[in-house]
Amino acid sequence: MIQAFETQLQVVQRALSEVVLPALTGASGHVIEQLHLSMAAVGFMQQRMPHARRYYRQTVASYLDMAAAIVTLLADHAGADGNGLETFIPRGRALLDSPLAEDADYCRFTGEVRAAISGLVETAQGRGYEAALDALIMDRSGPILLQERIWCLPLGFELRPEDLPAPDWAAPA
Amino acid sequence: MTMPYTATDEDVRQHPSAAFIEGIRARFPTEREIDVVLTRKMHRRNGPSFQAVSLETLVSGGERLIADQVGYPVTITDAQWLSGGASKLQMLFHLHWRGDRGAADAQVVTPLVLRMETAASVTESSRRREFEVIRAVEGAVPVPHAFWMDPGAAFLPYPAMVYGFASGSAKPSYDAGKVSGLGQNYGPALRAQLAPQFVEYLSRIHNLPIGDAPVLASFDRPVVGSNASVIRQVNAVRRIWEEDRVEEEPLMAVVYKWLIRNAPPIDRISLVHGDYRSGNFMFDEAQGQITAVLDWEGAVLGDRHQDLTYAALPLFQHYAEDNETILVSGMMAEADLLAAYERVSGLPVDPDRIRYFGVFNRYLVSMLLLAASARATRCAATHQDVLLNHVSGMGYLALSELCDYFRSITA
Repeated sequence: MIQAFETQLQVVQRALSEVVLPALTGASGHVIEQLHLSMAAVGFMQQRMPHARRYYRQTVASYLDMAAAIVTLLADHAGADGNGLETFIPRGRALLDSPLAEDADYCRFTGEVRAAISGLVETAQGRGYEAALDALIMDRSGPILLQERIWCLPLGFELRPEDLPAPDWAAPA
Repeated sequence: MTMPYTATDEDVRQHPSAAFIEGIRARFPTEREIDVVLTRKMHRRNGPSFQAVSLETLVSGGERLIADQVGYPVTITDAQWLSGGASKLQMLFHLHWRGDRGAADAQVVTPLVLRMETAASVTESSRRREFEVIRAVEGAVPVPHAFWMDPGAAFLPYPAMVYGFASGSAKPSYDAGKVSGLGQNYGPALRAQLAPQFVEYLSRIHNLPIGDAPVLASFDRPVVGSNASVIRQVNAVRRIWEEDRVEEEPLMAVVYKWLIRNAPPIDRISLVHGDYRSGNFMFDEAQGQITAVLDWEGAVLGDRHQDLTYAALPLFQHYAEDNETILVSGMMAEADLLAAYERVSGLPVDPDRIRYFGVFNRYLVSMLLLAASARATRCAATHQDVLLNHVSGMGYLALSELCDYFRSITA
């Protein structure tokens, strides 16, 4: 048996904070700073690694919802070009249903959907549905970005972390 | 299950082809010197990866640079790394030379700082412009004197400049562990001393007469009544987004269109610092005096509202002791900052331009964090990848804030 990743990260955290850092008294400021930042990176992984799969799946599901809403919007406008966005929806659902899907598959798929939607924003310029498309994207992006912020909470940048809601990924997607 | 491998956006940006680089240049025209710097960055990405630079290399290169400029041999001693800043590598040293007057028998020892680029950066910028702008503001605001530059990396591994050593600290002594400027809390007593100076120096920068070339020769000149210079700036941000981003973000495409369509004409040409905020000035904690305004690399000739909204960005805010008032750049409430600025500078603050540049700056920092910082880290291109990696974690906070702010002003 080998220790779990979380345990491995925990021992690194303790070694850095309880042994290495106190031994660096008097070291240059940039050395201390880099150690603090390294500890922050390890701490982030330690806290988030157990939730990563659910988080990635939740992100896929959120962008699938955005894509489906865009496809519906474009269907109401004659001549609107969806640039193949509709093909992402069955692909994404199959990905979420597949027990063999890996985290990297979720990340890659999310990246592709984001790129496809961004491409639509550009090609929509001057078209009758442009304003509606842009508004839909902004409306749907808000809740997704809020989840991304919650994901980054361990890095300590939020002014009032207690004001943020519970993460969606706590519930299985 | 792993999807079959195909060439991705990531491959294109990590190893950009000449056609890719030229395509982006053509799509997003910007200032001449900015174009030079960004193009160099992209070509550098295909070159050798960043190698850790030793103090000995900087000492040797620094001695040759300075000797070339002053015309006689010089010696550098007591070299040490200088912490602070997320983008450039800095060495503090003592220069043994003849001093400014250069009498042959003079022996002068001057503490100086050598500031050098790395292979990539959170803010890709021009040492030539930084040198020119520090020279231009010297005397109006406290800055370390800009001595010499090596803009083409003729003497050092990357472009560099040498400037005077500014005494003081960027962080209060009780808060030294914080990444400089991010939510920096100076405390009530120090804040009361620093805040008026913060406004005063910003006012002086914006009121500085802009002379004709060769002053600020590397800066394109805006035209009053035209929005072309604003559009060039928006394009510069979009260009870096296209060059560096790790993933596309649909709302960045929406906001870009809005920024282009709503770019306001310049009503008055000001020197804009570009990164005016807590953490980017040094101060004497005991005296409560700002001793130097730093980090001029993002300076442009443009609209004063750009600096006002940048200083007020949420990333640089914190709550006051009443736990209700939000202090911008650790100084004062945003409304108080704008009122104080109008009073001290004599320049009007236009609410429409405040809203526009509020969007612009949120767009800018989202790009810096999610694209420039993240890409530099992936390329292992700096001496502090761990810092850039850390700040890139603020990217979604910035993007979320951009989304909320944009919706609030366009509703």
